[in-house]
Amino acid sequence: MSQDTPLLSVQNVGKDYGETIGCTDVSFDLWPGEVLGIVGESGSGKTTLLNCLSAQLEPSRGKVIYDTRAEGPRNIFEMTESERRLLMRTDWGLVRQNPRDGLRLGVSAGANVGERLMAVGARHYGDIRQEACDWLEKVEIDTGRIDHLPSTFSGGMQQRLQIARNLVTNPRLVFMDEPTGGLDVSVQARLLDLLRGLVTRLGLSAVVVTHDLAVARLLAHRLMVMKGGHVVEQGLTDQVLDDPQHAYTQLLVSSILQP
Amino acid sequence: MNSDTPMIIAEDLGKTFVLHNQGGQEISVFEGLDLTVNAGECVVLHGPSGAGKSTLMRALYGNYLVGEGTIRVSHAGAWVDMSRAKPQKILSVRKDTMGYVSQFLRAIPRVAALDIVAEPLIVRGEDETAACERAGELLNRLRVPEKLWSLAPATFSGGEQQRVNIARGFISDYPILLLDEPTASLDAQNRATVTAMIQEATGRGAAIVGIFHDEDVRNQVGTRLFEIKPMEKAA
Repeated sequence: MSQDTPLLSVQNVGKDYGETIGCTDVSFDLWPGEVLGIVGESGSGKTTLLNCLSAQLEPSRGKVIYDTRAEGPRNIFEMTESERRLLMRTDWGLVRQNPRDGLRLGVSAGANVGERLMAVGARHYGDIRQEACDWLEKVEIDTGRIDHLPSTFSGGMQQRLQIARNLVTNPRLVFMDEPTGGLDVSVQARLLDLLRGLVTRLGLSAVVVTHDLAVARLLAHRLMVMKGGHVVEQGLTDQVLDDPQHAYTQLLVSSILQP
Repeated sequence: MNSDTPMIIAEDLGKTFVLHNQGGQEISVFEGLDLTVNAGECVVLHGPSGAGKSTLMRALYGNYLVGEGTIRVSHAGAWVDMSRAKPQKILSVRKDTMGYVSQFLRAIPRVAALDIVAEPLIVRGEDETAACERAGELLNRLRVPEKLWSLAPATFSGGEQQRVNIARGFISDYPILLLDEPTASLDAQNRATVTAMIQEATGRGAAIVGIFHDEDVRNQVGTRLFEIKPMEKAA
């Protein structure tokens, strides 16, 4: 977190859907090793923003500049389609809320992980399988299930498989959209613990969209609070959650039920 | 380090909470507050409940924002203003310079007590085995039974959780330590241990700011009292 160039620099990004604002005037820098949480209620523009940052969706205005390994900072929307695709397959990861959107259900668990390795040039079957095995272990999936289809996995296992698939190429930046949404709480705790460990150990940078403030507190160094497509408050995670300044953040924080 | 080396210089601090969802009510906690803490001293924040002791401590840690004033902290040979520093800078101050023992442990599901204690050292890049060994020594000293070390502290008693919290706060020899009632839920024996740990920390030159409701502890560790008076409630 001490280098001079941000890994991702977002400048005045906005996305309109016709007359409706998806998100607007979003600017921030993400530094190497930093995890940014984006919180807000449904419809606040979190996912639209994440899709713009991760090149799933072209913004209506603004720039998203990524510090590429080979050529330094570049606007991702000025790259060619193939350059952008290579970036997404190698240096970036994208963990979707529904693992079925991020996995290939017709091929085995091992192939789901190995596929991304092949995309970056790995060809030796034994090596690929070994690497896939290692990653299944890291995400706590029994390696005996390497040849099974993900459709035979539980939701929590599928989500962990999706994470392994994304991290196998050693990406520097991972985008996550509600990574623990739809999982029951004990499975969620396991996944959070795993994510937290991986992010710290690998020194990943990540942008995590979540509506769950406890998840945000656990994973994110820094928070951005969105409402109606605007960023209403941002800062150090515990400061935003413990001393929220904006009326909307105060409402969010005070609405949490204590078990 | 001699005791004339300032580690924290807070000047003209003002803090007001604005409750937007309760009619915009404003609660002023303090204003015009000045506090300097030198290396090797333990400043005890003193005042009735609700006077703003914890609020001040959280402000020093960058957990609460202050409306006015500056909080300069000596970090890696330079001054960092915690009231204006960027999140990355605050995190770096917390990693290397300033430790904080809160009143309650924030347990994380599935994370073992030993790992919670060792984490601050691991984050600083120390060897995991050595960090866990040091964590074990501290837990031993604080009489947390070894059979609990591998368990997540969510189910521990209040006193056990507090001792895990203290061990975590003391594992890294921070130049600055903030202690919010660290002895509140401890028995006499453990209170004595924590008192000794605080004295050792000031002995090695740490600058400490603490809140201690126990008068004995206060008298033993405190080198100076800092009075915080409750402000007149705004109409």
